[in-house]
Amino acid sequence: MKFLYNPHKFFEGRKESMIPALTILAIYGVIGAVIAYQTTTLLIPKLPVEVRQYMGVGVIVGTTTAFIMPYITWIVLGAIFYGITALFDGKGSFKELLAMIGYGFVPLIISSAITGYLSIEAISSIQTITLQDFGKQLGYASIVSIIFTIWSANIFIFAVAHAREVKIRHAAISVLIPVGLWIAYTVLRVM
Amino acid sequence: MKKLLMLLILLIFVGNAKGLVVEDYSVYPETLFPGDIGTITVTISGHDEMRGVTLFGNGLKILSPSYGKIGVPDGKISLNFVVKANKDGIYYPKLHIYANGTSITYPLIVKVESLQPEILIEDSRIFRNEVNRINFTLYNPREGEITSVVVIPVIQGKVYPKSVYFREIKGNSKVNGDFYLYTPNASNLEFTIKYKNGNNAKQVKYVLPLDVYESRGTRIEILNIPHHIFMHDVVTIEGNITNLRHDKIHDFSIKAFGESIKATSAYFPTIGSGETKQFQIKLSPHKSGMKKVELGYSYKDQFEKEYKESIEAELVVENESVIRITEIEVDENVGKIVLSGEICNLGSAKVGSVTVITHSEPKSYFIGDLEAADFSNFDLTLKNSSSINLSVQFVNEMGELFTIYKKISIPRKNAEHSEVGMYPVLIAAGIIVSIAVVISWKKR
Repeated sequence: MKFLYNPHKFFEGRKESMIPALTILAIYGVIGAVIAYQTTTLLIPKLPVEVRQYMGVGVIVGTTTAFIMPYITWIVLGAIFYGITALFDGKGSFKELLAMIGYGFVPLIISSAITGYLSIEAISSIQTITLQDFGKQLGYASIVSIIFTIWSANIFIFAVAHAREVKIRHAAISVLIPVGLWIAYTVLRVM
Repeated sequence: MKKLLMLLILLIFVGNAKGLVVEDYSVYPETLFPGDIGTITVTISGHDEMRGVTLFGNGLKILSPSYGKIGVPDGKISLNFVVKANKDGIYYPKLHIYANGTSITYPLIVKVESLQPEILIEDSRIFRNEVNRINFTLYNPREGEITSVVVIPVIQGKVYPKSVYFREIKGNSKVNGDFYLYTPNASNLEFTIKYKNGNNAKQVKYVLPLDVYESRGTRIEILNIPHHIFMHDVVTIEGNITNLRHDKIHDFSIKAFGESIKATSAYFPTIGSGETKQFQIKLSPHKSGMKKVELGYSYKDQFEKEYKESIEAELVVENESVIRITEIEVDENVGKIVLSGEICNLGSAKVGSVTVITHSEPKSYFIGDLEAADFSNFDLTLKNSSSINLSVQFVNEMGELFTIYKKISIPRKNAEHSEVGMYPVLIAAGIIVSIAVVISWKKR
């Protein structure tokens, strides 16, 4: 677990295989799927009768998407990091980059568990869904999400620096551009 | 006419008689069948004593003996002779009266004929499995009357009345009668006609062909049946019943049957042939799901035979009561909460005696009647609590009492609780992440 508080030492001179990254993403996917299933099944009885008949499909689509989404995020982020570090003469392979940034998803697992719990609690405690209730809960979830994303970004920086053999400064630029945009988007959405 | 001629002949004889006159004679029955026994009654008036009276058959068989010495005490006497007919024809038996050394001969006339009464039906059309009214005409082609006539219709099925009786049918005249018959498959109608010609019992049988048609029965037409309905709602099914039969039916009733469905029934005492009646059935489902509704109906014909038929329809019963509690709001005020909301009637029928009741703190709010597709507000002031067990009691149009329940959590309180509980989580997460990030950069 050294990568959580000392990622520089953890990644230094390390040749990483894909197995830890895939395992971390699988755990992230399963947790996301469970939360998606729980929230949608809790939502169904609170929806209008005419909408309920379509929610069977909604549960399946939501659960499947929640499971696949970490892998898609992983590849897309890797591609972005890879592309930006290429401007700084990055050398490591894409595969190596993916294997290392996989560790950066561990804080997001914790974030997902907390935000999932908050969502389930929020839906269970209200009788009818109102926009206000949801807005408030979404705000808390977003703050938690941003905090843990910062942690993930910190791990990504060192993972990218070692995987692509670039300076820490360049790795930080490569990571903070997309992550910063995402955080900005989240803040604007909540506001 | 012939009788008149006989009287003329007699008058001629009267003119020639010496103190004795044959005033009249009669034959009973008026005409005989071959083999019939008849009675000839001769009325003689005068004052002379007769030495003997003999009837010579002249083709007829005389069964009674001749009369010997006989007086005429009151100036008039009637003498009977029993005869038996042989075969068809007109017979002229002769009456010989011996008196005062002379004899007088009187010729009589007796008719023997084999003509039987005939039966006709006006309309030979009948309908299977219906009660058909049959009108018949019974014709007596004989010159003399027939009596104690009994017409007995016979058919595979049922007949009412079992026989039709006529006291007498005059010669060359007809009578009409009717009866009802029901048959599942017969194509002929048999008649047995029993009657009397004088004292002679007779019987004749006829078999008449029938034109048999299939019955068109009855037709049920459902005018409206809803496909989706909420539990406890009352829907009205309207329809028509048409009697396509040719007879009147009675005790018609129709009812809806189905799993967990309560329904009313419709009843008509009678429905005439060709008549259409409109019916209404109310039904209320108690459970959700796809329900099969069977509309069963029955009726009786005039012979009390019962007919039963049914048609099926499908009904989707929503997994929700016709009464819905919505727009729940809770306002807190110095240790008290004001619970308010709306009670909606989602159905197509009025509900009555709607009452909102809380159980943890017994209080109620009476709404009363709630029309179809209408709503009403309620509010209750209660002690502060984390949840409220709410129930709504109502009576539907069929008089059924239902209660629905709902547990209400207090959203505002929960939200506050979440808000309060969230801050430590957010702070802790922030601290942990900050420490992790700082350490990671310091140890670099």
